[in-house]
Amino acid sequence: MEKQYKHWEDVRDLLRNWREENCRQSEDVVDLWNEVLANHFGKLGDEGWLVLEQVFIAALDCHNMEVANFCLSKLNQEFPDSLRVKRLKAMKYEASEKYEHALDILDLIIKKDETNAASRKRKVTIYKSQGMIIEAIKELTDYLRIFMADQEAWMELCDLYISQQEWNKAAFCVEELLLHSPFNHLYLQRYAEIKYTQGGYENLEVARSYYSQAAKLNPKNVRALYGLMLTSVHMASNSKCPSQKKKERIKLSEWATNQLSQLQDSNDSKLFSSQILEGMGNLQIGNDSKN
Amino acid sequence: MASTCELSKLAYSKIILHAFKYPHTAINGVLLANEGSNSQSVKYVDAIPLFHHNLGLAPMLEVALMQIDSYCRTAGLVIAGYYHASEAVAEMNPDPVSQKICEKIAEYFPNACLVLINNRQLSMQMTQTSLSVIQYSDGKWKVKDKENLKILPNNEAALNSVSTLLSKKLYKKFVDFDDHLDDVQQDWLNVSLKSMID
Repeated sequence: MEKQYKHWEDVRDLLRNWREENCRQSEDVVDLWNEVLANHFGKLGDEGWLVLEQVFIAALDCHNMEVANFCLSKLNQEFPDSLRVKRLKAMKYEASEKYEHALDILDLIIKKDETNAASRKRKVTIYKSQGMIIEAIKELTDYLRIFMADQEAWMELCDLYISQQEWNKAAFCVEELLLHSPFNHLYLQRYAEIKYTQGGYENLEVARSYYSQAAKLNPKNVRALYGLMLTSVHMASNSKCPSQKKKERIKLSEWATNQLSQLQDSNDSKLFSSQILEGMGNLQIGNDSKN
Repeated sequence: MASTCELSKLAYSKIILHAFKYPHTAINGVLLANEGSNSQSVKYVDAIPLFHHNLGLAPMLEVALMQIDSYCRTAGLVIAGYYHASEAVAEMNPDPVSQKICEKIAEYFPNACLVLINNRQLSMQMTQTSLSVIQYSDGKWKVKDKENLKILPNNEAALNSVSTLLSKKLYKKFVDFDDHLDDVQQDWLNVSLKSMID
């Protein structure tokens, strides 16, 4: 936080931006609350409740239970029967690692309101925090059967599968995301990364095409450019690659390298593309089953 | 005689700063030692932070390791170890991805160490090293005793130094390889931070 926000209205606007963009700036939120906004809470009006919720969650993230308790008690006072506030109580138990209590509250909420998506997702995070990834995956897949359009959930499921090295299932999750947003270069790049990690000539081919599409949509996507370079060089040096395609691959890799060096021009970082191409053979970590 | 694992203040500080910058995700990075080091008692002189998202994906890991390798050759260093902090606060075992990466490193540097961060022991005022080390030798993973892990110049001085860095919130300016991939202007070598750490 470089600027000193002295005026409470600026702080309020900043917090509103962070809420809308779903930024995780917990330390800054709590600091801003303590230094500025807490004294001007009355002026916030109805937005104040949203701010309290935001500060509560940020405080839990920083394990600042004093601020969290203050926010929760104010919210509880104003909205005593609210399911949303109950969910925040469950989050507080979760932060104190009292997972059983948290699960009890969440189950109650879900019983009262079966469409309450947020509570179901909190159950997933409770399993995840305890390292019970298999249970988290099961809970999340049950959730997605009901709430199929939840992109955030598909992304989370993809991350969980990646951590379990279940590449096919992770790829399936990204395919669902691509159905929703076929022109999202980040999803395309993610799909390519999963395919690349799976290894094998056919998967490299798929990875290359997805990396190309991502780079086409956003020529500044550094991961896509590197991915293009890697896949092209790997494929060109593979015996399965027909010779006319080899030339195409090498050209593609050169294009990607040029794009990267252009991006790096104003920087004296250590991108030595020739050394990288030289080092290609030595450090391959992916599962190359069909090489 | 048990072999020791030493971390320079720079390497240790970088590990802790990385953990503090991304407390809510898993993080990983590699440890560098001087070229031609005795692999029995290894001294890690530097650490390069890698990722805080999807540590299991291969392509960017390959790119990172290649770039770090070429840096090492210019600096007379070698990739000799790996560090990792789990996403879950209570997790104290290395996950399969970390083991795989460390085994790969061990192909080039025998007896590479996998340094795990003990999340529970981290705090703004560091009182414990919060690390545990397992070493890959002869195809097996062996846990190293606490006495065989040293932070230079000595544990207490290093802990005090790191606590000072944390109080100044220097972790906000810390750059890992993921940050560099998001914005190539950012320096994953953290050269500007190095002078503040020393």
